[in-house]
Amino acid sequence: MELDIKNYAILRLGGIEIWITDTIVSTWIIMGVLIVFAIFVRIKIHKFKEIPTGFQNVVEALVEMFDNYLVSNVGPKLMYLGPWFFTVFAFVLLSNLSGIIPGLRPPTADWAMTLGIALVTFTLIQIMGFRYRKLAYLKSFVEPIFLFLPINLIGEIARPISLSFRLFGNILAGLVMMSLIYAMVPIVFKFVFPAALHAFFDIFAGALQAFIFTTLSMTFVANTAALSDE
Amino acid sequence: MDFIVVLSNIAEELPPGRVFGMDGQLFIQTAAAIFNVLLLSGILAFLLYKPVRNVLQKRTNRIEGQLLQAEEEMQRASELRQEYEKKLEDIESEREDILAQARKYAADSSRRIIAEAKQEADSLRDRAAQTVKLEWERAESDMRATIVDVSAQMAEKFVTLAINRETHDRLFDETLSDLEGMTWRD
Repeated sequence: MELDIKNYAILRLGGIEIWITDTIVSTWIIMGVLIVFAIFVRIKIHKFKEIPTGFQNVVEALVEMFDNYLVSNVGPKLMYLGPWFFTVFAFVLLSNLSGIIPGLRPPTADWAMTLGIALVTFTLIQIMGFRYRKLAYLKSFVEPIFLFLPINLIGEIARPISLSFRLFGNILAGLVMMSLIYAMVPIVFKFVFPAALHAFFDIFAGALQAFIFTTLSMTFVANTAALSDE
Repeated sequence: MDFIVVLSNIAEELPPGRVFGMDGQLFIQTAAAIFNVLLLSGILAFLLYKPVRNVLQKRTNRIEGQLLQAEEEMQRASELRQEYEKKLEDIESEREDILAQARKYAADSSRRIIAEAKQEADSLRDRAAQTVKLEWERAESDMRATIVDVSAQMAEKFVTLAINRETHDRLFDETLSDLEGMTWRD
């Protein structure tokens, strides 16, 4: 396993160079998996029965469980943000789990990816703050006194940075550990011993980090948007 | 196309791999990540999340509607049951009224019939008494007439045998005057 994010090609779009990296390729693969699954559901949804069975049961349980999870974190007022948080959860989860597939580098082990998702959440936080609290949201930056403005601004900017670094750091740490272990163990154990560690770092820690990242994102948005006027 | 150009895909000409870098490429990679995730979000929302949520919502609404309908029907059934129970109570009360009326009517009828029977019996007794009295009087009258006839015949025989013309005339006169006296009394 390699730690570095490899570059496969360089693309120029109107003067901007875009490196086609491991992360982008992995992202496209994970997107492809999710989109194929979504298309399959979309085709099957017309045949959904009144009493769900089999595949329908799984899909409905997934969406229903996520809805319950969402409503417990953001409340019914912000349920329309469900698609975004659902995507974040599904994408981050699959990204973290992709570490168990040989040759696939988890996209969340790249800070650009986690920062990108965190920045969208940060933008959502600002939009929700202005939408639901209006001037009171701006006023919250100078509370309790005006002198706290820089601290409050730093605190606000720290949110996406801490959110993104937490996920990036955890997944990268798992990747580093696994790389070291693969480098250390003799070749005869490479197919047995790392499996348990993959289960811990990629499945357990990966699922946990996906849950933490999504929950924190939801909590930040909900706190900014709704709790002030309730 | 000049706008999109693949500069290189030859390993030697590509920049070396890295774990982390704070440069312009980080922003480009971040922008690419944002684009990818937003695109994925739109696709998943359109194809997966919203349609499934709609299915669930419709089912929830349908079940809620059915529950509401069942509750309304339950309420209606309860009202009907109360209504029927009230009707049954009314019927019971009506039955009691009818029975009471029937008993009263029967008692009245019984009293009336007994009174009529008694009256008729009294009437029959009165008529019988009257008849007995009349019969008695007629028998008395018949007896008296018979006694008179017998007396007259006996007297006639006795007179024929024992008295002379003068006595005969005297007795005839006396008898005649007695008979006149009796006729006057009756």
